[in-house]
Amino acid sequence: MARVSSANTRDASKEVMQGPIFRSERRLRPDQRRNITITWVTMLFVTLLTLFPIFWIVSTSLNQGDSFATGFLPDKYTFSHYADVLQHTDFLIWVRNTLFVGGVTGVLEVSVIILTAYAFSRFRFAGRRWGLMALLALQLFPAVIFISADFFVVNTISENWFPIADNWIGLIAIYVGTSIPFNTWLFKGYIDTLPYDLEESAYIDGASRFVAFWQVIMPLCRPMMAFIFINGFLATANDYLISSVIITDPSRKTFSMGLFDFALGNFTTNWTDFAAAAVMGSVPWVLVFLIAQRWFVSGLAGGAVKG
Amino acid sequence: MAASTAAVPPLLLPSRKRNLFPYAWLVPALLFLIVGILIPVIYTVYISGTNYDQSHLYDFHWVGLRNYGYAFSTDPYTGYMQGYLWLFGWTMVFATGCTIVNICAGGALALLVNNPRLPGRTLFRAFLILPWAVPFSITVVAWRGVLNTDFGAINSILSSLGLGRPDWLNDPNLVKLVLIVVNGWFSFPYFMVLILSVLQAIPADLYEVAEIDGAGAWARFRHITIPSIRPALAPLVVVQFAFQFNNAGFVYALAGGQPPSLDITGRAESDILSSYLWAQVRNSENYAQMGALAVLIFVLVLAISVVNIRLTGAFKEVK
Repeated sequence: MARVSSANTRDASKEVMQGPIFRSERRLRPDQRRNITITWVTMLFVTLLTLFPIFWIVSTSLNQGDSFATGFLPDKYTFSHYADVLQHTDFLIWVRNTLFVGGVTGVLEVSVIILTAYAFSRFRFAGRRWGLMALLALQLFPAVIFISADFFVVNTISENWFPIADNWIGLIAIYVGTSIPFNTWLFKGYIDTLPYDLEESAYIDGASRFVAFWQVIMPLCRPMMAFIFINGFLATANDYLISSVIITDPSRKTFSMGLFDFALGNFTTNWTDFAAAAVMGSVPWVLVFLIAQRWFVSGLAGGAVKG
Repeated sequence: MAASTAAVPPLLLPSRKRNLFPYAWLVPALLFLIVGILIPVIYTVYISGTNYDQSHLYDFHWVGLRNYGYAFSTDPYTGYMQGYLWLFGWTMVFATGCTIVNICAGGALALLVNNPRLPGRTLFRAFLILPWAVPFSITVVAWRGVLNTDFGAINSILSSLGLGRPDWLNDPNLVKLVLIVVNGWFSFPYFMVLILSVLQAIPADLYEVAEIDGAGAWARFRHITIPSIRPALAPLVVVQFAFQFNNAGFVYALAGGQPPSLDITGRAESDILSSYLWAQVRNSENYAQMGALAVLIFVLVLAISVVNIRLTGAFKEVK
């Protein structure tokens, strides 16, 4: 904690020097000092509360036995659950499946949505307004309420033509299709904020529409593309409702299906193995997310402000 | 082609020759929308008019509006109305509660973190974003552990203080409170980050001038901060409400279809409309009746969203 607070003070002094909101008063009045202290204590309290469940997972993953620690820290430390999960469960298969399904979904979402958003932002065509309104309406309906129909279609096709149950194609199509409405709105709002002059100068230089899109617009859209990819990947990795209806083959399970089986599948939850799997599964992901988020948040806000 | 349109903004005036050009950009999205949304919607409507269920998987036939009749009937054996009304009531409370809690919590923390004099604000921000960063499928199970009646951390603390061991996930009232509060834990970082970036776009001069003019902290908040973030928040409110209205994944994963209620088959006290629908399809293969429920949810969400859009003035600037 001591190190943290010394780093904090450095941070603060740096920011104050760079330009506080109230440039007229660099030195704090006593009442302001008191307000800052209250804010800081509140923030510390909220942060500790927020981190508690995450801390709990890590602590449980190190606890001996298969139940969680009675106190806050493990009664006896062990790393055996990590080895257990790797050796005795399909953990690596889940990770592989998730990387594949999530990766394909994310890439498809980005490529389909950027084209649609660009068209809605830059072209004027008959039906454009209706298209936007239809997307706005469609994004209100998540895939979960059509689950009967998904089951019916998968069942009918498998019964009459070819086996599609346990096939990832249908699953990916549902993920991509349901992500289009909201993300198109977000992305269109973002492209709307990009100045038109940049493209125009490309046209004057003789570039075709597609070249201008590829060389001028795409590079500017990277934050938004990152956001949509990460969100698409995350939604796929977290989905249980749709995948568990379409996928039944254990060798095709994704990460969240495997994890929910630990927790919801039976009465004897193996908490320590779950926690070890959770830590291994989330550490690489959280690092990627934290690095990427600084970058995509600006784009996200740009799109959201435009609505 | 490009040279001829170079001087005019080509986006506004597609020439006759290129009339179909804009639509070509929409083809991939249309294909996915057809497979991912349109076909499921059509089949949902179709199934809702049949008797397709566990005992009629292959020999189902058209029954007209019978499933809708069951949905609006209070008959103790075939009617669903009573259960649906409870589900709808709780769904509305859940969606409203979550929207308010999430946006207020996210907004409040954004305001606190936005204070440039706060020591360690970047660290706070990095830590507070973790509920968003750690995959939901992991943290929701962790919450089930933390809330466990016999061994959970919360009850360990409460019982050591002599406050007993509340049955968080099995008490019909407590589970509802838990769902809204824990949902706040999952959702506030998204709103904190969004609102923070909107706050940072407000010109500092505005506050400075207001303070020189003698505006207090509350007046500055009321007359500068709120009007500045309002346009960005309005669409978020509408979208968030519709999202939480159908947030079956969260409700089912946290409460696990518990505790059971006694009115209609399979309804849990924690269930919202969509999680009830999902559990009935998954566990009872009650396809046709749930197809009818899906159509009803569809109509409800659309109606509520239209009202919300009117109320908040979101999406006014569709252009």
